[in-house]
Amino acid sequence: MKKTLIALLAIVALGFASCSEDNPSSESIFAKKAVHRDNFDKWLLNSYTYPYNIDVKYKMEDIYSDMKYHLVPADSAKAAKLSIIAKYLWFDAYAECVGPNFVKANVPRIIHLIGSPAFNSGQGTMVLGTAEGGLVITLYMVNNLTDKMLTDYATVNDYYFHTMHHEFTHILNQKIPYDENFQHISEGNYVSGDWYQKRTSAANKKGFVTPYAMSEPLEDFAEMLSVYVTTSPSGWQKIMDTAGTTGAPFIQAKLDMVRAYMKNSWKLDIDELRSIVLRRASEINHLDLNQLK
Amino acid sequence: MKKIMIYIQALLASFVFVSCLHDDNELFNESAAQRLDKAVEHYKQVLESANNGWELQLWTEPSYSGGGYTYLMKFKEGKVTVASDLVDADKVATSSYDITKDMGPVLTVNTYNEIFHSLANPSLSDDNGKGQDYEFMIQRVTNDSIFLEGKKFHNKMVMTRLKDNVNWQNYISAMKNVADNVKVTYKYIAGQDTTLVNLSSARRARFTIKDSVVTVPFCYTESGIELQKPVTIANKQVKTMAYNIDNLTFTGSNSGATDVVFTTDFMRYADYEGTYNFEYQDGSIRVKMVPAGDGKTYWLEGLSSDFKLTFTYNKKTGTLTWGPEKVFTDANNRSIWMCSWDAADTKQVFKFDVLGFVVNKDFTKPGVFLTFTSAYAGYINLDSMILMEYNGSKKVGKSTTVLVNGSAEIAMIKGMTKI
Repeated sequence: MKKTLIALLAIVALGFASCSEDNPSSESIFAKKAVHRDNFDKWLLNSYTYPYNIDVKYKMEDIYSDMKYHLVPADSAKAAKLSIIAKYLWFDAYAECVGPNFVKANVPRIIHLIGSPAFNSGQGTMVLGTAEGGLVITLYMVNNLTDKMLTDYATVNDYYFHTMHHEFTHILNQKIPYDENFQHISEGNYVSGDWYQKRTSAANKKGFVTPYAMSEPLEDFAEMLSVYVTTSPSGWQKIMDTAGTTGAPFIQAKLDMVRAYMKNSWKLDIDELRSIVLRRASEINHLDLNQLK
Repeated sequence: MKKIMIYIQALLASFVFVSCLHDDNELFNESAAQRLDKAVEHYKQVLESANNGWELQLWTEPSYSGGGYTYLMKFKEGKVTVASDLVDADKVATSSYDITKDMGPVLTVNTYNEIFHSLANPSLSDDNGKGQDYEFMIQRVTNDSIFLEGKKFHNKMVMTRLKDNVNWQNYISAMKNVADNVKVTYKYIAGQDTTLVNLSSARRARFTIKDSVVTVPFCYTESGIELQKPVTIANKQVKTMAYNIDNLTFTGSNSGATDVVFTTDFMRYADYEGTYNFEYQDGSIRVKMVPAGDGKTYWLEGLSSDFKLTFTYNKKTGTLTWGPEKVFTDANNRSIWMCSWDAADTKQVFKFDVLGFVVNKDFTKPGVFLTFTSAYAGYINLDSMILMEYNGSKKVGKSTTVLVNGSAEIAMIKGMTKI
């Protein structure tokens, strides 16, 4: 009887304990305010956000930037031009190859544009782009762009599109891992942080497409894909010729794995993507960069 | 048993009280998020309410270890238009701005502004650029002043409302005019004590007060300079100083500092004109300093009837410089050069134009006595001039045709006395 009494009291006590009201206030802490959009903002909404669900941040937001670097924001006019080219040469190219749903499902949700390069203090190197957890792609050096550079495919490719293909490969690899045998092909030849002391031809002869590919297998994979889809067949042959008997077999073996991975995991034919990218690259001179359409 | 029951009941009862006495009234009527939203709205409205914009005195590098720069900033509908004494007075640049909510309300210029971000641009050799913030935590706002703290370098700065009748271009021109006419070193003598101030091109004022040295950054103002913080000189707190361009004097202009007057020993361009005795080891030659007509060059005539030497005036230091120069060329490409020479020590002869002399008045002596100091003194100790003959670029030897006082050598130059 006494035990029952205690139990009863305990229940009553718990009842009292929850007596204070803590329903959420009906007022939202997120103020509903109309957002002021200028022409470029509207264009981004129609060209990136609606078709691909991407937020292009050309106004620098430091929470999306790496605080260990000293950076400056991007020039808005240059950001607009780069956005026009990036859509044509990159996003629309993937959409043409594997359909817009692939782009919507896999490309990073945020493209963050930064004006300056990200200099690695005291190292003499700089970062051209990063992909954070598949969510944000950051592109640096927007302010260095001139109109001449923008319509020169080799330059914009070196600065941006190679980087974007590269970072995007990381995202795909994070979603579906590649065959772990890939890392054994060039095992022992990776040099980690010393990659920037190597020349391209030396890297080729060791079986890598670029010096950066020598840093680690993950970067090697991303470099393989990004170099392949942005390089013409004759340009690729040149790399293989430079690589020669010591390097070419390794590059070929890795390329076969990259091709199989993209085909099996993502239903993407890298040769088709390459021909689309190169066709679009040959057309960038016809883009009107001064009009937001 | 009963005791235990009482204990248990008391314990349970205490739980009841704890939960019901719990007071969760907020200290403010609104949530933190709502207050932050309101603050941002209010600050934007204050910023944009200044029709003629604001003046920001910005201090660079951590702990005020850089210089001071003035920006005029007008905020309208998410855009900011900026002018500065860093660039031409008629130049403005527009970009976007925002007040974001990260470390409290933060004012940020978030697209590239070629004027405002110029000192923040990083480079491979200097990865923080010139250490300028472009994001600022807003600490306090009054109608006429906005108190900011740089988000990265943490210097505190104030933005003040510009009066409607201030013309931006004239205002910046006035600052640039002060900057253009400021010299290097000034002194103030109070009784036995001399205070020196050295104003560097990096906009740092280095005060030598008796034996102690104080360095503070300064901004140029319309009428002179403003120090980042007051400096105590002869028991007076000096914060702002007015510059008299005609007299080259700085006078304390904040209250209590108006009898602090810094002067400078300085030779203006016109002060060099006249007749001098050029004195060296072998004697004295009557020479003339003749203005070349361009306002920055002098000709030294009289060493020889065959040539004159060229001296260039430095407006910042008030000194003249001379460097080795070609004084004669004949038809066969043979030329005579007046070279600099270290006659006392290494006997080296130079025809490289930066290896010459700096000519300055000796302010410790009465009258006008010009001294010749070797460029890069300490590394190279030039003391003489010598006329050398060249065939094309090949050295032939001492000149035998063009001479000064019958010799190719002007050994051990002492200086020039104005007569």
